[in-house]
Order: sequence, then structure tokens, then C-alpha cells
Amino acid sequence: MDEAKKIELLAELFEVDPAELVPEKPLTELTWDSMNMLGLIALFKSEMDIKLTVDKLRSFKVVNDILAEMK
Amino acid sequence: MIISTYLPEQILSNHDLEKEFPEWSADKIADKLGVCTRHVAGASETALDLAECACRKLFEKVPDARSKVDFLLFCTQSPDYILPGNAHILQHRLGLSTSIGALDYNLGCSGYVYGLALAKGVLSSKIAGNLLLVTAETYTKRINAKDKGNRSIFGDGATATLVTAADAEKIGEFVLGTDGSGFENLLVRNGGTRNPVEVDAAEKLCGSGNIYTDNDIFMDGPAIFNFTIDRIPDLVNQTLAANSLTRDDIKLYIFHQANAYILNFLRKMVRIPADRFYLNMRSTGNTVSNTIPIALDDVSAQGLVKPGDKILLAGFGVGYSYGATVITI
Repeated sequence: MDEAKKIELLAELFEVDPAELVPEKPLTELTWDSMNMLGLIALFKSEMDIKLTVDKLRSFKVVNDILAEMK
Repeated sequence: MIISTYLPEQILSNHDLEKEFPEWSADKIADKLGVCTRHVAGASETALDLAECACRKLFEKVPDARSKVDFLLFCTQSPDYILPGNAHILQHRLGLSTSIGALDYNLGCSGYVYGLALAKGVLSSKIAGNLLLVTAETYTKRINAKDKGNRSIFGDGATATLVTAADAEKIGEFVLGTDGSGFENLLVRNGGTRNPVEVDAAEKLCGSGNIYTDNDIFMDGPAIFNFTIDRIPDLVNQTLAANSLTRDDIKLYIFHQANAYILNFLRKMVRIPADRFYLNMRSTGNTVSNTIPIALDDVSAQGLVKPGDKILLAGFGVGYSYGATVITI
């Protein structure tokens, strides 16, 4: 998956402009709530067939942490 | 099977929640969770009280049920007392025969499916001929007032199902499962014999801004979601196989109404058409073991199924516990 597609998917999930999703942006400055955590699990499963574990999910601090796990 | 539902009068709306938690949008709760309102038991109203109301409604529908019931199963995780069980007190309150068998069992979101499995066993072995299966929950009493996530999801309620020996023949094969490795992901840590209730329990943070203490319900939503992704698609496929059915043989799929987001994701994973997948939690929320019988009651009231139609029921949650079966209308 190319970088633009990754950003597009995350922008849709977080309901923000793609330009806001710079790599070092803290997730705490987005809506990093339980519903979006479920959404990210669903996104990984449906788009990449990757099981996103809770430990991995909770290790994410900035946008780039998520981008690095997207394949 | 004849089902009655009772929901407490007090209602908590998304707008009520938005007033308490300004960062929480009423529309977002409705869009994401699929819940607009939920019923909340009053301060002195217990699962037993709700159950009694549900049973009395059932007896209005089936007047001779009271004298015919010879076994009572009561599913709850909100018992009135540590002992005895609610089933015993309910027998007395309803004036049921003292010759009946009665017991409580402690299950959450899989409770109705397990109740049907127990009912089928009791009835097919002729231990009893008319079984009253009761589900009743007051989870809201165990949710911290500052836990906006769980307050948005859960509601209270009770149901009563009359299962006769003839009904039992229309209950198909079961697939049941248990994985206790996940027990800490949906848990009330204090109040049992291992950990007494703490008077000044420390507040903890779950997710983004959900406050709870160890005296309250804690739910790790992402962990529960992963459990459902791992287990429920296989559960559905195994249940179809156990009943020698294909997806197209099922008129309606009724899953435990956990939340709309999870359900729609599971529906797509299992490739169930939207028009065969029943969602009905907008006005009740997640009422734990009540969701499936409430849905069945609604389906019946709306005439959505006819005799001979098959419904696949799947329950899953706290424990972890899960189970599914197929019933024929």
C-alpha cells in the first residue's frame, strides 16, 4: 500500500483533512478514542488482513507509528 | 417460543450524555454505536424486579403458563443477593409451583443461547415439560458515572421466554465455546470473595477519558473486538455446518447486539446480506443477555418471519463465552 493510500484511509477514519496527518502528529491531538481504536482494528483487518493486537494498538503514540505498521 | 420483554421506565438519551460529556456528540454515539436511548433501572429496581415484570407480561399472553411451568432458568450477572439465587425468589413472587426445578446461571452476552441449550437438554430428557427462561440485567448499576463509553453502550432490561417440549424440537444443534484467558477484558474486579468492595477505590482511566474503579464494570473494547473477529465468523460457519445448512437457508441472523459498529463489521466478514441481519439496539442499547430475546420478540411482533423460517442466533462476550444455534419458527 502506498503512502498516499495509507493517509487517505487514516484521514477517513479520524475524519480530518489528509494534510493534518503529518508523521509526528500525536494521536492525542486526533480523536484517539475507543471507537476509533475499533475502527483502526477494523481497517487493518479489512484492508490488509492484519490482526492489530491490543498491545500494538496501545503502543501507537504518533501518526507515523500507525503508518509503519500498515503494509 | 413465546417471549415477553420488560424495560425499566427511566431513559438515558444521547443528548443527556452529551450534556454531561460535552466532548461526546449525541450524533456520533448514534452513528458509531447505533444507540440513541437506553433504559436504566431505578435506584431500588433490581434484575429480579425487572424479571418479575417480564414474566407477568408473559402470563398475560399465555394465561395457563403460570400453572404449567415446571422449570425455571434465570440468567443474570446482577443477582439481588449473593445467595440464594434470583430464580428461587422469582418462583415465590410469581406463585409458581414448589415442585419446579429452578436455578440461576451467571452468563452475560452469550446467556440466552446457553439458556436455550440448557432448556433443550432439560426438555428433551423429559426432566420438565414447560421451561421458563428468564434473562435480566442491570449492568448500569455497575458502571461508573464518569464512564461515558460504557454508559453509552449498556442498558437494562429483562425478558421471559416460555419454552415447551414442542418448542425444544425446533431448537437445532449448538456450537458453544469458552476462552477464560480473556476474563480480565470484561470484568468487575471487586465485590466477590477474591477482592472485597473497596470503600475508597482509586479511579482509573480506560481508553480516552473513561473513568472507572475496580468496583465498577471495566471493558477493554478493542480486546473484545479482537475476540469477536477471531471467533464469530468461525462460530457462524460451524453452526451452519452442525445444522447441515447453508447461509441462504437462514432467513434472519440475530447476533448479540453488542454495538452497531462491531456488528456491521462482523456481518461483512461473514458475508451476510444486510437485509438478513437484524439490528435493533437504537432504543435499548446493549442489554447483555437480553438482546437476543428482545430482538426475537421484535421480529415476532413485526411479523418478519413465518412458520418454517430459520433464524441463526449467536451470543458472545464476557468470559469469554460464545455460542450459537439455529431455531425454526
